[in-house]
Amino acid sequence: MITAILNVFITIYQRLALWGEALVSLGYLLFGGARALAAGGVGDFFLKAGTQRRAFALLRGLWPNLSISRVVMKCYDNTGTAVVTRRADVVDVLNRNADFEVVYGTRMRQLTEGDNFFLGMQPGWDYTRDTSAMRLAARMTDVADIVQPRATALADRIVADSGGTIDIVPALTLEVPWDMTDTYFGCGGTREHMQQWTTTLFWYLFQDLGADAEKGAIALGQAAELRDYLDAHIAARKASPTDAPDILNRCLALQSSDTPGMSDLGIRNNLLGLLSVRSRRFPRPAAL
Amino acid sequence: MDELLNRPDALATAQKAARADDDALLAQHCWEALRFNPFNPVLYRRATHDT
Repeated sequence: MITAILNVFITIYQRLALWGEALVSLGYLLFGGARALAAGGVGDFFLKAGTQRRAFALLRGLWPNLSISRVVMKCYDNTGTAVVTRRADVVDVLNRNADFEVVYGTRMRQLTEGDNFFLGMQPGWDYTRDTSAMRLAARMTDVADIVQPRATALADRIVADSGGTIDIVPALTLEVPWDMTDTYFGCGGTREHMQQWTTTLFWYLFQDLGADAEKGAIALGQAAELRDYLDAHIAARKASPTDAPDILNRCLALQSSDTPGMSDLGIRNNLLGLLSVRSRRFPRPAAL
Repeated sequence: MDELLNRPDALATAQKAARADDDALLAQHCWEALRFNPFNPVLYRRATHDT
């Protein structure tokens, strides 16, 4: 009984707080937007993370599920966009897989020039096959046993050799992820190429919301280069096996035991997908 | 880094954690900073039918 009465007051307080936050945000957006407009930087103002947080606070209070009946996200097949802003609604959408599908399948098939990658799949046999196989290849314990010790040792060495001054992006935060690509994934290629391929493909999958035709063509060209590299690299590894405890060798071990999804093509597509979606640590390439 | 640089107090405690080799506390600073500027602030889904 007391809890029920308390909930009434809590609900009223939460609703007032929501509206209050929305009104403060509206004021911030109007005042800040006008100032940015006068200074000629309105685009930059609305791209700032702080501005976007205010915009979402405004929506949560006044238009929690804003529907836009025209195509805004040109990279995905759609007829309109609904912006869902409240936590409970967002969780609801994310939990209803059959009603709200993941969107990456179409572009993932373009990158592989064929099959989907598990990130773009709905729950089902293909998804279960690929995630199960790749969880055997990239083991849960690898983070503590391989990735962390290797990254720590490498980072310690780079910092120790820096002489007290370091250009952190090229020297450290680009080097360590590429080293993981090379030593843990077992397919690093050359650092310059791998960074460019994977960064471009990540952008194409996740950030090309306006479907830029020119840059999209660059991305598909680089996807072809990455496919060619991986196909040749897998063939070379099979011709000259190693005993390195990397993901490629584990995939090939699964292939030799007839694990579903672990054909050469399946391994290549899974590696291509993993490399592309993990590249967020790399900056956008100059070509884009 | 932007979010920590915008908050000198948080940057100072992050640096202190790093110098003390307290990875857990440093990680807390990083994750908290990411909340202010997530790399991918919007998740997309496609509705398969009218809702």
